[in-house]
Amino acid sequence: MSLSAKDKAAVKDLWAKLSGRADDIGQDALSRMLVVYPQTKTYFSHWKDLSPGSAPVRKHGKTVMSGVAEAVSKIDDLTSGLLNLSELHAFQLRIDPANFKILSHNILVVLATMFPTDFTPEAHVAMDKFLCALSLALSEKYR
Amino acid sequence: MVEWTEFERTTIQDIFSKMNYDVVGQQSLARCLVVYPWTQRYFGNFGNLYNAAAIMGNPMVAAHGRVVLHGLDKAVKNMDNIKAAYAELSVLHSEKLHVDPDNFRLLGDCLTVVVAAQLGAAFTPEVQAAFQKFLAVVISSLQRQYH
Repeated sequence: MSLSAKDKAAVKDLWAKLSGRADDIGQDALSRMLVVYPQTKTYFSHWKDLSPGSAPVRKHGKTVMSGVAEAVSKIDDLTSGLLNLSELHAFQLRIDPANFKILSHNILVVLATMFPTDFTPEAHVAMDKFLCALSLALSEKYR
Repeated sequence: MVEWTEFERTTIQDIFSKMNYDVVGQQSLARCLVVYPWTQRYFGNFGNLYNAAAIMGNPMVAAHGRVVLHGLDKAVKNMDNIKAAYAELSVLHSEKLHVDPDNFRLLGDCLTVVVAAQLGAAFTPEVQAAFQKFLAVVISSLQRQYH
């Protein structure tokens, strides 16, 4: 399920449309994740406020989306491009990789709510594949 | 026994009462066939599924999407005992249709995306949680008679 040239073009195309709202997307996706999948809150026990749109959620949403932006720019070789991020997640954060799928799903839901006409089935499949590939690259250093 | 809060009940009834089952059914199934192409394995006799445009315009896909959504309606109308309401449907999907239950989740995710696109900001995190909980119960009930 590797990214074809068509997939990469579709992802870059969609990213161009939504990068202006990247922070909003990140904050919304994270908020949804914490509400809809409460088990993910276990990773943020050090935050004071886990409610949707709170300051730590907004800040972290920004962080996550800048990682996604980096991935888009390195779409031709995600594994080597995201090596540092993979090491961070594997050795320091140690987030169970099952959660990458959960956050990816919520990013897709946010894209559907914010960009209903642009998030066509073709854009959806390309984005889903990209987020899967991204998650895989992030898990690279786990074991 | 599934416990539903007032908010969850109201949310589910609200979403489905305002929904155009024909449109949402067609869009969800078509999206599923595009985003997860291996699901096409169950629709060998549906004719042209060669590309996204063909799938989106395929009348058999539209008709079947309608069937699926009307099946979902049964759960909406029997929220306090979806397990019993779906016993026969579960046997059907297992014994006759031989559908891998993983596919229920894939279709459920596409339905979530379609509903999210329709409701926009009104599809808040809390509404999403209620909707996904409802789908999880439906999927669990559909899987129940598999052996």
